[in-house]
Amino acid sequence: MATDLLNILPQLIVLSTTAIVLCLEMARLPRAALWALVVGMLTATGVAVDLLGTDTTAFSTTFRVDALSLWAVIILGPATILFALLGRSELKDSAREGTIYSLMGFSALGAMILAGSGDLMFIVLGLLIGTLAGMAMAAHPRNGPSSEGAMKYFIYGSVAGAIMLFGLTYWAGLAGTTLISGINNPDLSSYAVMFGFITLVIGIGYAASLFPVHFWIPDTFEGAPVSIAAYLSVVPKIGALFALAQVVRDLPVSLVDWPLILAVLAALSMTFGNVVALWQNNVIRLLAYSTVAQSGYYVLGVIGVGQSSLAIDSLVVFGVAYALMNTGAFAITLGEGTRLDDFKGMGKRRPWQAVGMTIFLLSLVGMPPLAGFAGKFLLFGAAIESGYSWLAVVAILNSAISLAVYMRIVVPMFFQETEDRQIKTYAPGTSFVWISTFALTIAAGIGVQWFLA
Amino acid sequence: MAAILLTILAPLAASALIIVTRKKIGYAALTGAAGSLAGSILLFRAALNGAVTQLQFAGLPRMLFRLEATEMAAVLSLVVAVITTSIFVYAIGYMKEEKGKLRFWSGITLFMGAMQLLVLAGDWILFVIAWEVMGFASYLLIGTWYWKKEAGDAANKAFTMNRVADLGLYVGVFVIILAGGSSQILAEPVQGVSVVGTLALLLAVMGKSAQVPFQSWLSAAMAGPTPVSALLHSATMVAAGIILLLKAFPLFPPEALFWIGLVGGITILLTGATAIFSEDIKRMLAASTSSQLGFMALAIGAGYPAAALAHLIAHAFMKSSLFLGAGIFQHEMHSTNYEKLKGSGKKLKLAFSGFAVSGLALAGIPPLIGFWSKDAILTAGLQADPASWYFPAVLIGAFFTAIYMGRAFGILWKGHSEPEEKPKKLSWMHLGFLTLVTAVIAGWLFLDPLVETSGFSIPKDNIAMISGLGAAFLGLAAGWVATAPVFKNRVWIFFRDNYPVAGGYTNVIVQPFQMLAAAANLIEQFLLQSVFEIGKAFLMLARWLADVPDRAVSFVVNQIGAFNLNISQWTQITDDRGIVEWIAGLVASVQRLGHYSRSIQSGLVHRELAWSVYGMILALIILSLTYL
Repeated sequence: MATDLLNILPQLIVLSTTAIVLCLEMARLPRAALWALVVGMLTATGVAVDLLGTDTTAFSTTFRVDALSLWAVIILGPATILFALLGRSELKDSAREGTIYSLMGFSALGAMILAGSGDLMFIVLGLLIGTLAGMAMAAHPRNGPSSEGAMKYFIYGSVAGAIMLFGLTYWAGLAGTTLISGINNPDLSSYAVMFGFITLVIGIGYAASLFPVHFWIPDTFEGAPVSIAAYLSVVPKIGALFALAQVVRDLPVSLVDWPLILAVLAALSMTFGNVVALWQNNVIRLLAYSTVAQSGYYVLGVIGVGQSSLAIDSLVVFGVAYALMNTGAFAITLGEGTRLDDFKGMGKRRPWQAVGMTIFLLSLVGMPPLAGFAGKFLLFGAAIESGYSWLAVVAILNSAISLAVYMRIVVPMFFQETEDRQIKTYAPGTSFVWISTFALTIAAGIGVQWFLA
Repeated sequence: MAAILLTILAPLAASALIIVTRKKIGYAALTGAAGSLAGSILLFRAALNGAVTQLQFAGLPRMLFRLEATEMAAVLSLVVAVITTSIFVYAIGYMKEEKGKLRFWSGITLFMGAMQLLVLAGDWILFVIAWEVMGFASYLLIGTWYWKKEAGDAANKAFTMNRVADLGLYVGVFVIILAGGSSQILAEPVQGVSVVGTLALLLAVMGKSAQVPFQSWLSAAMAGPTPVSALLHSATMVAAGIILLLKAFPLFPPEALFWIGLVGGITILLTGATAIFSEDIKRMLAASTSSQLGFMALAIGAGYPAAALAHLIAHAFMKSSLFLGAGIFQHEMHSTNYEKLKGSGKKLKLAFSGFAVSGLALAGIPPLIGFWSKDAILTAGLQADPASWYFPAVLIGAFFTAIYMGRAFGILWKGHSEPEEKPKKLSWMHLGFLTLVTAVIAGWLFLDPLVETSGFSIPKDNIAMISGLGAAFLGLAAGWVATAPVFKNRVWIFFRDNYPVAGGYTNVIVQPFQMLAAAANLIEQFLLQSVFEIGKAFLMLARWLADVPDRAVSFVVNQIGAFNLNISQWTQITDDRGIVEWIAGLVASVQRLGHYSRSIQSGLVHRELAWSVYGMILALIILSLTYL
């Protein structure tokens, strides 16, 4: 029991931090709440770094303490701090500002639980914590678009969650246990396992913004504050995809051909996200579709689980890269404005920020030597090693299309003149976020070697 | 170790400095180039002593980044540095009165740094990085005058075409790394690099080195300033493709070499013919670049990398000085059209003599540098065992080269003569230009030692030399005579057909080539259409599965529409369409796909949920099929 508690110490710290943050908000001390979140998340991250290398389980194998769950804390802890700073910049002095910090903490806790689930109930629990908190954040401004977006998020979550629960009852009934490892039994009925797996993919895919359960994304992102949209694009996704990797680790291919179905969904997500993004005139919507496409690439790493030595590395490295570059792009969008027109002439007006945005977008495309390249390189390698070369080719072609998508933002920055309008200013928090992610995007690309050691 | 870093970082530092300070930018760039030159001289001296400078640092897991100045890399780095520095000197004069200085200088220094990185890269990942950065820098440079529509279009064209071909580099590098288990660029053969892997690399080479059918971006790239053209066409950018072939040469399986030779041979002939019929001096030079790179590809296909390396070095000096010469004409006469340049050689004697020396070298007249390298390529073609058509292809190519150079001399010299102006002071432009011309003249002194330092020896053969000389003189004479713009006026074409030397080209050579080009184009279009159609068919299938009754009507309507579209597309194929159009077509179809996909995203929750359920059912069906 005591060792179990020590092993899940990072998650416990996040939980207690969040409770403290909530109390501070009740005392109307938003600034203190923010600081508490920063300190708590850093502590959790530090403990997780210290635990790296452990590979064990806690509480009768229901929770796994391994590379995935620990890296989830190491990625999501600091990322949550960055999002909280963005939130502070955007929502400072609004009513209920502090609730955002506690909700961010709860939602991150959900993602961290997902990443280590060894039991079906932990997947359900993680998804519920994550999405309920996310929904409340999306509705924070309490106006028309945000309520609509949050409502959509909620309805989608209810339906996807209900389908998933329904399907998972088959698994639990067949295996006689809710442990994920219980499904690793070749004698089970493959049709029932197949049905359960599809519903699980629907439930997890909803949080990971995979086609065809991504429909809530653009509306929710557009209605929510930019910092919340940034949060929703990163944290739930990494948790959900790590959970998927935990499931397929124990799922025999002979029982259900899960790499095939994931490959199809990956190809569809990439293609759908990129081609629809070509049509968007709102940067947030464009980035929303781009997150759908990025999820598609990310699934390549899950496909490699159990078949390729690169799989776990690729999931972690791309997780880091994605959190960095996507956060950076959203931070600059927060500073600059959400219409494509807001970016006109930015190259002259704010050259440094323009260069930063270009670097983030090129990293999202996967240009070497940036972080996104290292991540994608490993992902594609994992897919090829698993015998899914065609998927890697689709992904490479999609990278070419995505260049056109992101160029839609880059071109007005450098080749058009500033419109006559009020220019927004950058809050200190926003500047901190984009500069630090910028430095790390470049450093992570060059230093992957040390990064993984 | 410091030298290798200096070679790469000096220009990059200059680029950063230029963006920040924005003052005295031309001189800052020149300092950066000089630093790089100094570094490469040190590397070269080390290579002469047989020492290979190496540097390793962090990279991908189990794949370190690695810089390595092998003998060949040191030689190439020196050539790049000398040529780039001369062009920078020239550009200080050229850009004095032009707009867009900041963009030009920051871009061109970045470009130089990327090229040095590419040459000195000791592992494939770093090579890809350098390749991409250079592509991006070339985009900036071609679009230096981005406010002109022509320049913007040209930059986009160059970039998109290169991106299409670059996919080959990624696939090829993947194959190499998976086959060898290491990202290091090795000089020993690696088992398992298949023909497919070689062909993927060849695709990248075809894009970067402007081989048929990707040659058109190169002439469009003329929209940039002249120093940019001179740089792109000589030791950098297009040379990157050949450097890729040289670095990967030990890895190629013997049966794959045939394809490299084939691409080179076709390019030599087709683009050589284009150069003959050009109406514009810079476009002539652009087509000539493709053709000369074809020589190098063919030499590699024949199994003689030494000949390719020799011609790469020689061509770099010749083509950069030709461009700088043409730039002086453009600067003085404000045009590059042959019609406007008639007889201007008498007015600009110094520029003309420099241009003529380099042109004669390119045609292969001894003792200039081009004679030696062309001799090497001819020998390679002659001695290549399996492919007996290599030698005739090279010989005809050499003949074509002499014709288009002879024609350019004739046009620049003949015609109305204006009174000669007093020679101006020796300007920056002349200084850079004359440095390169000197190198062309003195080439016989250093070409052999350079190639030998790289660990190769230039092949030589008497039959090749004599037939090459014959082709050069004959071609020059023919070109000198055929200076009139024969290809515009039908009467003139008839008239010219009576002349024994120049007559018959149009009928005997041009038309078959044009037909060949059209046929190649047709096959390409057919392949493309098939791919489109398969894609469309899948789209239709998806639609049909989703909602049969509702969609039936629109399905038929769409099919009819698509059919009509196809007919109109097929009728257009008879026009002389290039690869740009199909890229545009590809873009349009992607956009159409986006438009269609967007209609799924209706914004109504119940409809979108229905789509999700359809998707789930489809996934169930696919999985059930795996049990059958």
